[in-house]
Amino acid sequence: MIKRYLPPLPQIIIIVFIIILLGLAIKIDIPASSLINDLFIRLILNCVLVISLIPMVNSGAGLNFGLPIGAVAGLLGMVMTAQFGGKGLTGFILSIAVSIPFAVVSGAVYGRMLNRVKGREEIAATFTGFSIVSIMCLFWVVAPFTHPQMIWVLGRSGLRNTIGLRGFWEKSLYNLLQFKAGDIIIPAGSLLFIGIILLCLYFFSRTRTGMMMNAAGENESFARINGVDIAKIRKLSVIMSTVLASAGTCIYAQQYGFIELYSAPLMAAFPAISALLLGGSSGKRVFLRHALLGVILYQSLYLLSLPVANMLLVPEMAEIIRMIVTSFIILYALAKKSEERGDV
Amino acid sequence: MRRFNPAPLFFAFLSIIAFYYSDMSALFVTNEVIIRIIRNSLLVFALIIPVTAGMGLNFSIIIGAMAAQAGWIFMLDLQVPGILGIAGAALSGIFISVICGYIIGSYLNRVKGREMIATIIIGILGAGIYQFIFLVGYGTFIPAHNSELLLSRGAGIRDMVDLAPYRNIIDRLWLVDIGGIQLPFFMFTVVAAAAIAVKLILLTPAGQRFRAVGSDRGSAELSGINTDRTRIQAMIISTVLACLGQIIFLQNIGMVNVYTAHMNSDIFSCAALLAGGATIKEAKIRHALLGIVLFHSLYIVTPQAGQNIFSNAVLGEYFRSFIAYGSIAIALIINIRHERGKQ
Amino acid sequence: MENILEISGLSKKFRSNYALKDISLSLYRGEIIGLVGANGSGKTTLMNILSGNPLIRETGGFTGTIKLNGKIISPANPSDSLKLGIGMVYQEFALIPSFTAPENIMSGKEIRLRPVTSLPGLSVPLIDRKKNISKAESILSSIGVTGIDPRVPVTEFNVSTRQFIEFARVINSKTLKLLILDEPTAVLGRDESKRLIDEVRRIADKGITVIFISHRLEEVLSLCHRIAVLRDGILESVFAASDTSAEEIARCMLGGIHDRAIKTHSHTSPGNCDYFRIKNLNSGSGGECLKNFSLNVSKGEIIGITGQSGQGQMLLGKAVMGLIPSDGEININDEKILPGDTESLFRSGFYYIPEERRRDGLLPENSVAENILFTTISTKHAFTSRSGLLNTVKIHEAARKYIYDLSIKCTGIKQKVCELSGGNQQKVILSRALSLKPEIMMIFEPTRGIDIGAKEMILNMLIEMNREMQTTIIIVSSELDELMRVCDRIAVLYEGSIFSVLTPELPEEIFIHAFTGRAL
Repeated sequence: MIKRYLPPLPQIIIIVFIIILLGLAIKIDIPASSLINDLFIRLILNCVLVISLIPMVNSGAGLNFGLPIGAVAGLLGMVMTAQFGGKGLTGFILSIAVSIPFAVVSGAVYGRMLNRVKGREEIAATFTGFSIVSIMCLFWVVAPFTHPQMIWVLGRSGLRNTIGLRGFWEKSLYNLLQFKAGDIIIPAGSLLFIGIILLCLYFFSRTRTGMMMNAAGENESFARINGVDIAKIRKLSVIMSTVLASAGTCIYAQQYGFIELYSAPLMAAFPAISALLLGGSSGKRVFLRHALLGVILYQSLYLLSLPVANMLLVPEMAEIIRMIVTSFIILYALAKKSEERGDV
Repeated sequence: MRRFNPAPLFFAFLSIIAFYYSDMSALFVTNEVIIRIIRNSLLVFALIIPVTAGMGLNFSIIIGAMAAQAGWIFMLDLQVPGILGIAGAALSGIFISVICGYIIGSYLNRVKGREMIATIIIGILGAGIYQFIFLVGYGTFIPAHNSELLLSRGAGIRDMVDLAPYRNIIDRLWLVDIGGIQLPFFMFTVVAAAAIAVKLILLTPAGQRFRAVGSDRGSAELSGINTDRTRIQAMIISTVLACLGQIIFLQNIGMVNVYTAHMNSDIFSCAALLAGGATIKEAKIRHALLGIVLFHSLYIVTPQAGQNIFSNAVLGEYFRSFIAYGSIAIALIINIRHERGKQ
Repeated sequence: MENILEISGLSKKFRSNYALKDISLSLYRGEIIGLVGANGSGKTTLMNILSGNPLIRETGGFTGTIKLNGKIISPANPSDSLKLGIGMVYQEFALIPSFTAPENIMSGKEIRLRPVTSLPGLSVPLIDRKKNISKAESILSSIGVTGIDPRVPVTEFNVSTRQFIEFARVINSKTLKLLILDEPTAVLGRDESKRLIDEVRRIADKGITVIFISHRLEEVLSLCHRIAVLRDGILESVFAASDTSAEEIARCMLGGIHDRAIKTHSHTSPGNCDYFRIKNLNSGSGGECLKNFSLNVSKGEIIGITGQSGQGQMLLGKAVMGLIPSDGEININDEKILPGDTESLFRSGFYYIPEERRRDGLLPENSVAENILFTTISTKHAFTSRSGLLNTVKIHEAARKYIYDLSIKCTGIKQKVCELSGGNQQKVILSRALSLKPEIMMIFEPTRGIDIGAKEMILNMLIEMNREMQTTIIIVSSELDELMRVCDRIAVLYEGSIFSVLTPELPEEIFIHAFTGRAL
């Protein structure tokens, strides 16, 4: 009985790690308020990207290693909105709106491809994502964008590697309905926005389609026998995940203040997947609370390790810890899943 | 019934067009390709046995490459010059590779069917550990004997270390010049020896086991083959070969970019193998050699071609990255569809 | 005669299910013992244990002892078994597809090259291709197989040739003590079967013990010295071949037909005779398959399908639903439907209840309510409001009604289905069928793994469904007893197609003969 409530191994390790780091952080006098503010910011940056993985996992399409595809759709939406001078909150909403059609179309094609590579989705998705990111590199160079803040001025043609959003819609969501409690900045608008997305997903799972989608992931043969068109429902979940990933990228850029083009989205999938796995769902189905817990743990680790590493060790240590933790969690989950499926 | 694989033709076609537009001299390109063959052969050969054993593309050859770099750093640290240093680097690299290959193989036995994605993640994990050892460890908990290697802050190896004490010892041995084309025969012998070694391995009973496991793991297990052990052996051989390949690669270049030299070595090696006509399930030496020639000629000429056609050299570089990723993506999708078709 | 293999008290549990219970059997050297069984998994599990299938160890191992030549053995993998001298010819073949015939036959025992100038006794570990080919050819010719091209992969040969190659692979062993053959003649024609059987006799004469598994009772009788009958994991009986007949064995396999109670229900007058038709359904390959399976079902009837294990019955539902590749045609009310076209099947009112309750019939982590009403929601768009949201209140209401009507024992509609007993889980599944009101239902092994009391209730529910809702029901089951009580007609399946369609009042002999593929 107890086994059911015991969190998985990586979660325990990470929590221990966090506690240690927290202790160190307190010891070197890092103010709690700055940590909390940082945590909010990181949550806004990454939450929706992690949540974007949920539809595909729950429909049995697996972990979305092709998240960069959705990210690219988001980038397209953003550069087009920026080209036409989108500003403020309207600019931000527009960037998401413009990226949705791209996300839907690419999600549909991507979903169709996934249906054909059953069993090895992860690796096919990874390289499809890589290919699309790299072909977009060519596009960013040759596309006829003209906005002076977006393109290289002298010598080189094409869009810059990173496009600053100052003057566009930088932090427009972050600043919405923001209030302070002492030293702590609470970005209510952003949290509300994310909350609405969560609510939509929740209500979706209470519809007929949502029920069928979860069944497809829970027990594929049951679903097939009981009226679910597995291929169609999985394709839908891929589209949903891709759209969410594009929205997540827009939210990220808005918060970070830069649109990062070219090879930036290449590795976008791994930290998100790792965070989701860290949230520790015990069965096949992933709930919203797993995703949220996972993001909080993952980002806490990162945000605590930065100042501690700066003070005590070498600054690169934080990134190294993140690399090791991210890959270790994914490897652990892969082995666990195979064990459960009885592949070994 | 061999299916015709259009990949080599496609790559040849692209290379020829790019070469035409690049206005580069055939002599220059030929010499460059020869150098690339020397540099990359063993790395690509390292992929052959895992493919044969049904483990797909082994992206964790990057671990073998890092082992080689570790070997070089050890030798530089202990300041062992000349041929002894080369041997020392190779041996220490091999030692690390055997251990890593064993660990990787054991892990892959727990994720059967998903080896490829696992090896990519293993590569990331390895890179993290590698950075931890060399960027953080050296000078802190690992005693550094040669302080010239360290960063100015006193800990961590520098970004780039010179392999001057080892240059020109073997890479220009027995050099023959035919009308401007430079042929380093000693290195050719090394490459040939490696190729023969791989072929011979596949002709032994062990080789039969690799092929059996790759053809049908279930049946192989039922017929009494210890498939787990066979797969571990495949990974060990692969990692060791990759290590040797990187030793040669770096020795040829003459310096080690400590934190970036191994990057993309896995992707480019796999892309080269596929360009030569190999598939996820079948790879031979001839695929590797042909693939290196095709892939690297394309690699050499595209930046200049991009410059000449679009007045933009950067396009050429992005294009070749796309070719690398794209060829792997297509190979995966086609192969997996064929696997399902057979079922 | 010495005992080469002594099995005593062997039991094997999968989860809470006994696949083998307390098996005790001794085999002497050079004997050929036939193994027949009404329940496929008993035979297969026994063979898996002897051949070292890792699945056994992974699912908790076995209890009891096995002694080979007096020494206790417990092979953990096929390699162990081979080293002990146990060779198994698998029904699905353990041939490596890309290998040639010699490579397969010599796998693990390849002859290596001896360089001329080397030291005596030292051999380079390179394979001597020529010697391997000639050795393989000699083994093949010793079992009467010639003219095999040694250069092509075995996938190019037809299935009976591959059976012989598989056979050659296993007998190519100097240390072979026990040879297990799993349905070796299933894919062979008459002459080839005879050839293989002669070869088996010759091998036994050399002192090797043989376990011969087959559903062809004639073969078993002509070849074997003794015949062991397994039923539901228990060793029912061991006959001496010379003292028994096919009827006696078949009767033992079926466990006798005890309760000859007349069928307790009368159904409504038979409707359309060709309401549901399956035409020439083909599926599966090698061992268990469906070969030109055809069946006509009348509207409103209850028809049973039964037969020995492994005759193809378990493929039937999956083939119709397209879960496995198949071809053929299904006709419901003169509407032609292809296998796998689940949308049309549902539209025509067809519903399939699979054999594996837990694996395919339920969403284990979901509630009772969700499980009962799933299909009604998914295929009939029931309980859905205009916005698309599910009407939870109505769903719970409906679920409660079924729990009450069928006396499903659970803590409530929200309880997870995996926590219910087997019988109650089956009731949940039947509730689902009831709520769906299908026109025609195909249900597999409805009472397997359910206690006696619940069995009756399930059978009565089926009768009631047929009476109240005029549902046409096809029951595929190995419990002939139950089928006799409930069905209007019973079809006997043999080697992939319907052998004969009988009615419950016919004498036992006809059934027993039909089971073994013989008409009276």
